[in-house]
Amino acid sequence: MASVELEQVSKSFGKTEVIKDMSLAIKERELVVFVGPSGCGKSTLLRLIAGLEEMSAGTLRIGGKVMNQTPAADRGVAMVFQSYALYPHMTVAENMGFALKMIGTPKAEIDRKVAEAAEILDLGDLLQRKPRQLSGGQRQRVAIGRAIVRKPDVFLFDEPLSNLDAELRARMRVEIARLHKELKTTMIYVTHDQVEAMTLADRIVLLNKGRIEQQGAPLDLYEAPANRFVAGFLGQPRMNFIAVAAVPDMSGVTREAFTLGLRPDAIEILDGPRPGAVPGRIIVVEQLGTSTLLHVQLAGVADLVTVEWRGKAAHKAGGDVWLGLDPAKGHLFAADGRRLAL
Amino acid sequence: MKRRHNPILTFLFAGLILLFTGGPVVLSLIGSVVPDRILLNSDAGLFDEGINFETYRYVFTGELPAAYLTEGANRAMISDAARQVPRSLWNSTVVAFAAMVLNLLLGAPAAFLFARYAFPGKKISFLFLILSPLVPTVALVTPIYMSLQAVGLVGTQLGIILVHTAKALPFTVLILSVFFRKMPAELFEAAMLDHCSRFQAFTRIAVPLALPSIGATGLFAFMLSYSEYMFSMVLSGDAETRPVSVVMAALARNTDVSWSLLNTGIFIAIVPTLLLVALIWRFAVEDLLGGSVKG
Repeated sequence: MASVELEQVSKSFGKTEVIKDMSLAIKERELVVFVGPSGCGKSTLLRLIAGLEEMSAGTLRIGGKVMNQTPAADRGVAMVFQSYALYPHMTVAENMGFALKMIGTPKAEIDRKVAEAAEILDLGDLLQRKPRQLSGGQRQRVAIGRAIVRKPDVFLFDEPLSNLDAELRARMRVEIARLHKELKTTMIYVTHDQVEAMTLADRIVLLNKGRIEQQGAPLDLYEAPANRFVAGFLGQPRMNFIAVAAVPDMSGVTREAFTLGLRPDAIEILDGPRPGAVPGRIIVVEQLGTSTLLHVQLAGVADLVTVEWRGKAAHKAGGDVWLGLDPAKGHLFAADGRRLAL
Repeated sequence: MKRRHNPILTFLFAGLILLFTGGPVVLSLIGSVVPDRILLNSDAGLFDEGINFETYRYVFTGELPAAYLTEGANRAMISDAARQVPRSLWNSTVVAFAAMVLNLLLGAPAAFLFARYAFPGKKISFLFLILSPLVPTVALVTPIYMSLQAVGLVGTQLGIILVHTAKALPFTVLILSVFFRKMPAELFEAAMLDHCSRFQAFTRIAVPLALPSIGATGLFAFMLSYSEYMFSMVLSGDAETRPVSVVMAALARNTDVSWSLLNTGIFIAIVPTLLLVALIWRFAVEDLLGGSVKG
């Protein structure tokens, strides 16, 4: 295990700056998730740490040692690729033992370490198969096994679950969380899926356009988003943003125009009109089983407002509802996206 | 709606292609086992006298076909050049095999570099490589002859091998670089993390995965050398080094040649290529279609 520190790291491809002056400290044994929309630089950041890309500026330390010039293989990191990148012409056992073979480890020791990793991942029966004879989930486990065999200081995961179907993804998520507890190793995990980020991370680092928007424990980010981008990215279904025009309040002071952010479960469905209630028309109803999502058109609001409804009463598309929008349950954002105090 | 294709049309075109490729082979086989007097007599049925292998016997042992031993027969029609076919066959096989091996040894690493790495002068050197086959062979004969003469390689097999290697190399590099480029980059990044040097990534990952295409490309280089005539003719010396294409030309140039003998030579000359195709092609095509590169 080792800590990972980035100090004012930048990375440009030609004239495009992908990572902008980024500093970040990852503690030993921490599971940090880099999350963000595509093109935010999260994969590039991981590849910089792995040594697959060279930094344009800045310092990278792994376990306290500067790694800027260290070749990828000598950084003590192991990477699990999105496409698994298993060697198609080698068996599962050969795939897993390849790194050890390349540094001249005796065969008996390779076999022992491969068997060990195979046991952790329940791959024992598959060791003599070729990758093409495996299912997606099995390939994923082999890819993780290949990383485990190397006993790295830092595990790097590059969107490892994005090629799996939903059910398998949920299962592998749990497996990776279990592995982290078992191996007690520093892990850096890149994903664009905020559910993976929320469920796996000790700490989420939310990236956008090559910068860190916010970092912290998943629930801290969820409950206290630093800005509109973070609020909109985390949470499923997405937060509703309702623009509020600049109007003088009761004391006659004109506040600047702002956006009210309300999560779908923070909006109330009322039985009828009451002070502060807003009328709307249901456009689409999505039955999720445990709850129902209502997409409601409000007068003067361009986007549909999503409401999560856990009650029993059936709502139909085309029906009229009254919504209770309580700013105290939401977040206010300035025009530039920064969070405003209530 | 998907338009249904007409199976009759498919068979028709397949038959036409077969006629053009397989037809001559069958004709030369028939021509080689039927005596000249039948071949040249439009009244006689093709198999009136059955088949015989006298011309084959002549090519390998030098014993004249019975018909040419009779009085009044034109003995000159049995060209001595036919006696050189077995030896030239061996010469050609050696030359083509060496050119193939050299092509793969030089071409595969070059193709890998062109496909996967950036280096100064990459674009211009690749362009040069791709454009070089556009120079007409005839224009190169004199300068290459003089160059080889200067180093004393005219009249040797090594000289022909080197020229054939150079001629096939652009194709080898081009075809293989396409295959190497198609391999997923992550595979080589994984190899890099697994302590592979560039060369090891090539030998341990790229080559095993490209084996079918390497086989097919090698076959191509072999056939290119095997059928090459111009340089073979100019650079080869006596019968000891003469490749089969040169001997065949000598046979065919003789206007009074025995047709049966000529066809025998042709058919014998096809055999090594046929053997090689049978060996390599199936495995190459099957693996290409099977998509062995897919993880």
